[in-house]
Amino acid sequence: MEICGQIVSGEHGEIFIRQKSGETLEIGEMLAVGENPISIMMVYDLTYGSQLSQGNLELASGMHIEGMGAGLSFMEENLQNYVIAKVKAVAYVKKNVNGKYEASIPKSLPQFFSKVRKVTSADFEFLSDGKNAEHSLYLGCLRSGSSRLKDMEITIDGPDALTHHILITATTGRGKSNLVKAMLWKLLDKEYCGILVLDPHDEYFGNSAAPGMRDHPKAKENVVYYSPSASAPKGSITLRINTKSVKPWHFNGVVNITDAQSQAMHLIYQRYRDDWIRKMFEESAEAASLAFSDERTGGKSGIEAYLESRGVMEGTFAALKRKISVALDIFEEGGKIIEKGVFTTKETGIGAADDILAALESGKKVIIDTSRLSSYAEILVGSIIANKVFEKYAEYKSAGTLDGKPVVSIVLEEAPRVLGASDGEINVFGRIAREGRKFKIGLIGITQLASLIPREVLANMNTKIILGNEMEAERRAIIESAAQDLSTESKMIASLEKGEALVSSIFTKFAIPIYTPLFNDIVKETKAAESKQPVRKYVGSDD
Amino acid sequence: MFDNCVSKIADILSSQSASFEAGAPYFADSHYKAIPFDVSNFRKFAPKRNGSTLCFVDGGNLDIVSAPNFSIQFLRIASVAFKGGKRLPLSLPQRIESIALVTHASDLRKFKVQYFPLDDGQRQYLPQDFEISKSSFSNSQDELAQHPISAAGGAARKFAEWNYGARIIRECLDKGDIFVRDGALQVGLEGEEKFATDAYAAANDKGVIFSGFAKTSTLVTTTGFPLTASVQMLANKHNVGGAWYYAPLAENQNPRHLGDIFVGKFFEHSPYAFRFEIHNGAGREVGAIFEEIADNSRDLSFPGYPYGLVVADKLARVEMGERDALQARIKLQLSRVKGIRECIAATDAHKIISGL
Amino acid sequence: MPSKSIFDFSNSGDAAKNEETKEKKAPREKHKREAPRSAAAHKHEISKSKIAQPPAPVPPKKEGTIRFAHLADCHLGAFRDDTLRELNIKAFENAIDKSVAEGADFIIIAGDLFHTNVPDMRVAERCARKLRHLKEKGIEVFVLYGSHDYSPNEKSIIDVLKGAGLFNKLGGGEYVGDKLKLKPSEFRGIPIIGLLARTSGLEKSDYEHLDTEALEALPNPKIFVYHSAIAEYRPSFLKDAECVPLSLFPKGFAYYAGGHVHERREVDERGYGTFVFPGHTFGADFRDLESDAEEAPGFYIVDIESGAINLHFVPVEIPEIMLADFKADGKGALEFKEELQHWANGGNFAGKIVMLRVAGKLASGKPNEVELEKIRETVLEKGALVCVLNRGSLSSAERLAVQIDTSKSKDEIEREIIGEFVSKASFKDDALNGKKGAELAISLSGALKQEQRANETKDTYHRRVFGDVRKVMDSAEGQK
Repeated sequence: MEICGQIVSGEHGEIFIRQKSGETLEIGEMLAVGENPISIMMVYDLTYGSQLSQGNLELASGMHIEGMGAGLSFMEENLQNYVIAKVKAVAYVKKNVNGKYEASIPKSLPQFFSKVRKVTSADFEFLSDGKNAEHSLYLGCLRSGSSRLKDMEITIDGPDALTHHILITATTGRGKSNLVKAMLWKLLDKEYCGILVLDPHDEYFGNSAAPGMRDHPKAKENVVYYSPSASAPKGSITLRINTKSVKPWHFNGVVNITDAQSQAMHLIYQRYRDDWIRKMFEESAEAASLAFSDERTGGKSGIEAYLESRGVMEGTFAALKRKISVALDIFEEGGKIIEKGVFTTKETGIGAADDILAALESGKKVIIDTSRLSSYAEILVGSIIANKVFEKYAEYKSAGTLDGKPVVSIVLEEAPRVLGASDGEINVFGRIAREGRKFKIGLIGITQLASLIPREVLANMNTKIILGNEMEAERRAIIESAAQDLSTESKMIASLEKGEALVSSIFTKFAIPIYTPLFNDIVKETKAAESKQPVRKYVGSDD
Repeated sequence: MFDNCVSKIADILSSQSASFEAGAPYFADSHYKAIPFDVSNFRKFAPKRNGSTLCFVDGGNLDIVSAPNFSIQFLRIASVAFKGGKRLPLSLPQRIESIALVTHASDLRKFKVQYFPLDDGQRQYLPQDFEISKSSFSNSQDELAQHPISAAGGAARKFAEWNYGARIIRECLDKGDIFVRDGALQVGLEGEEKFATDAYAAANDKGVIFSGFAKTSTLVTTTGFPLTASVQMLANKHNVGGAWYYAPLAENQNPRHLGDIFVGKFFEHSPYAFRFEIHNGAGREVGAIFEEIADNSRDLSFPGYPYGLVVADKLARVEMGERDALQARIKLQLSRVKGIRECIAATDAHKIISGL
Repeated sequence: MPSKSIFDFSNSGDAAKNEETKEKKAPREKHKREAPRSAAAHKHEISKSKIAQPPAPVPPKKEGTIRFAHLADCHLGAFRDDTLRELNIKAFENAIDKSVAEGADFIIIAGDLFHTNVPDMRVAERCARKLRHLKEKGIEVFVLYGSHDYSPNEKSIIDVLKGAGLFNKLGGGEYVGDKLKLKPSEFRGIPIIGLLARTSGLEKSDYEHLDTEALEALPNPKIFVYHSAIAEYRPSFLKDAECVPLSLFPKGFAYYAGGHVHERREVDERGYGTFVFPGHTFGADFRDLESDAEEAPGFYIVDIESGAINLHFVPVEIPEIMLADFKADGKGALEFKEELQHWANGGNFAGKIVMLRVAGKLASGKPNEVELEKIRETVLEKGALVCVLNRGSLSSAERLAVQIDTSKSKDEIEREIIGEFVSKASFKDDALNGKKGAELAISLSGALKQEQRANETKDTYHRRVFGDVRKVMDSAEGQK
């Protein structure tokens, strides 16, 4: 057992360890005391310690650097000057007689003056104790400071964690998307969850330049990729959503709609049902007057006349139509309907939302490339699908069949856009954040700015994967809502390198430091393990 | 107003320092015959011999619980040895820890001192229990003068230091090794001489150089200037650079002070010069001994002061915090002694007041 | 008999016999009509409406134009009922005759010419006769395996007819390494490439390995023939079908001749070309016939004229189809029987295909007491060519005594009780009846019993509850 230090003082939550000379302790490093039970501790701060007073040290330095210290040195320097690590005990692990681990939050101090060693993978066997590998959610490997215990994969229980929402926070370049890619990759052959990824950077599916989910051996079976781009890679499905799938409530909290406009919207919907949007655009004076000749008022015609007969103020329809037009990228020009985005009033895209729902329900991972969509359209697409999932799962719940369904989780980039505080109606994502877990629906929110997410929602995101973040205010927002007391970890979070993270979850005994390997390496590793493709035969080959 | 006062004080002091040169070492005791300053008495160190061990001993004691009729003291004697710049473990315990109980002897003019080592195995390194005249701790013969019972703890420590030092010399050191005790070689207490004599005898038997290093010195010159300061200023005035030692300062005829007195500067850039004494200094390679000590005084923590003494002091020091813990434990045990509360109350009123 | 909540939606056993409905996934909403409750209008029927305006006639073929017919999903041999099977063949023959009449230079049959790979020989003989007729006229035929007539070891009737030289079989090709290289056929320099279908959409992996680059390099105009549903165009009734996304298709074909989806569709797809599904020529199941009642089935005549594609849809001539829907809700078995008998006696069914659908819950009596077979006999006596019965959702209230199972949760019991009460009640608005009505009641009570949240103002709370209720009502309206 390599000794790296010794407990010299402290209190609960702030234990002081004198570093052994020749050893280097790091912030975030995990240390252990004992063999069974084991106290696992984490270094959260480092200071110098010296047997000399500050004045003496300054004098000594002065002698040295002012040229009067020739021949002077510290005798027994190791004894006089050293490093003190501030650590906190994070877990207390006991292996009982039948080989089961019992891990608990430490409520006592380790033995005073205990010798402290670095952790090994064996110390963390308790993390995988009793876990269902089929239900695992991979996050990376265990990390101790900057060293990686590669053979110690860190996973959490997927169904629990996903339905209780996951928040991934970091500033740019600290490895958010790498982490999400790694998570998705390892989830691809897991059937317990369907994942919907709204991908505004089109980075998850992959292309010839950068690997992605399409490179997974199970990609064909388990990945569905939608892209609006005609040049999207083979196997992708053209993202096209028929306006028949769009319902008035999909705009809730997505587009800012006034009460009057909302009322108008529902009136139109009641009148035309699934065709309500097409009708709004198709409405020409003649067609409209034919349809509503009995409800014509003062020379007005069409939907407008109908609305006004129902007490909707003049102008409301025009304003509503403008908003919907912008949101859907559908415009009317010279009597023609121009569809610039993914929404269409034509014959295609009718089953898209259902297909996505069906894929999610069968545990597939659906990636939607929203890189070419306006922010409105992206959220609307998400809102339509999320509503579908929500409605369907609520139905399963009331029918008592929800248990057999996979968990559905929605990956939201720049989460505050949809989860941010708003005065208006709560959108479907806000609803999922608050009550999704009852319906086995969860969110994976990704953000740089957790502070923009309302506290209530933050508190509901019960697993936080905290990557490096040098913004103090952001760290504070995360720490305040974390599942563990991370008040001492702020500095550590600031100093996390790319790929390094801290996982704080109600499903972990302590905030686990992890390292997520580079996604490209994970891909290479998987590919190396892949077996050869079978020889293919085409039925028409004899012809 | 304040500045005015200080300015006047500065004037007085500067007139004093101006006159240092006119002085010579001053010894009130007639056993010493001062020798006037002479710049030619500055000496450079000589190359040290190789392979000798330097051993430092220091002790500390602290009154833990006391009343006019008893004093319970904690004492700790420590040693540290170096050879070739590296710490050398000795076969004796590095620290001797003991409680010393001081009470009034049946002869009420005396205190009785008893040692209670924390580890029984260490009893052998401690002196026998002893009695000592109360007058040792007061210059006055007045019956009503204070003879603080706690002061006798100092005697317990000093005797233990000598005793432990002698054991180290006998058991751990060899010819040519240097033993350094903290403080001068002068003995002041009744009965101390006996311990010193025993230690010197041990040193003589083994050919060990016995020395004392005084970190503070009360010696002054005839003009009232500190002796060590005067020697330094003399050196400065005559541009005696580098490290040096100065001797002789006096002819020492004191039977209770068997050492030759030196003033030494152990590191060139240090502002400090120290009084250093060697038992039977005559005829020894004093320059080499100084070099040996100087070599141990190059630690950045206190250049010019032996690192060994820094360590010994730390090892031996009884911290106030430690006292509080010990005090609590002792008081707890004593609580079953009848009347103890009242006894302690006789002298602890100041504590109550300072806590107000 | 154990109680059965109306949430249990499985059909009663006798309904399973109706083989015509086995492929049907979900009836399209437009067919859900409510039976009028007034005595005068007990019966409700939709006369064959076809389409409001018949398609414009095909213009005469111009000089230099290559004209072909595009058929798919003839399903020859489908239907156990002799009359329907015969009508199906007739529809095919009519399509071929019309193709000849319109001057088609060649004919593409994009899969499922036959309903099975080894059909009744009488059916095969009829088809061969027609093909021989085409051969005599010098009209080439290109046939692709469909999901029904495909054979993994090429022992399909298709292979027999091909062997007899009656048509060209499309879909040839082979794997070279991991790439599927398709062998083009051609007609007067126009490459025709087919990718054959397999059962259950298994051909998808062939698409995934398709060497599209080689196909894209072929000169245009060119035709790609396939028999698969396309993900982007999937109609809502093909819910669970395996679909091929557009991105797996080779780009730049002038014409993509599709089959498999029994619904007519034309889409100009940017970057690709014109995708056409002609739909079936007659249909193979009850749902198909229902759709035929609304819009006549048919095929396409396509002109390739200096590279441009012109489409003309040609309906086939089939007998008039009459849809009749009857609701049994709240009626006694004898009362309902009388109602049907009355309708059958008074109807004019001469020369029509009559599709009789009965649904709902009888207030008393059992479904078999309605004696639907007798009704059918009457309809046939009255001159109908065929009478197709659909009684899948006819059930009896007598089976619905609710017993409370104490092992169930409060929610489940609540649902059962609401279900029971709703099933006994009868409302004018159908949205309030049956499972839908019960769901609505439960959703509504769920929306209304929400409590104010700790951090919610009264206003927000009000708005939220109101919004949720409105949503429930909207979606109930939407299902009507």
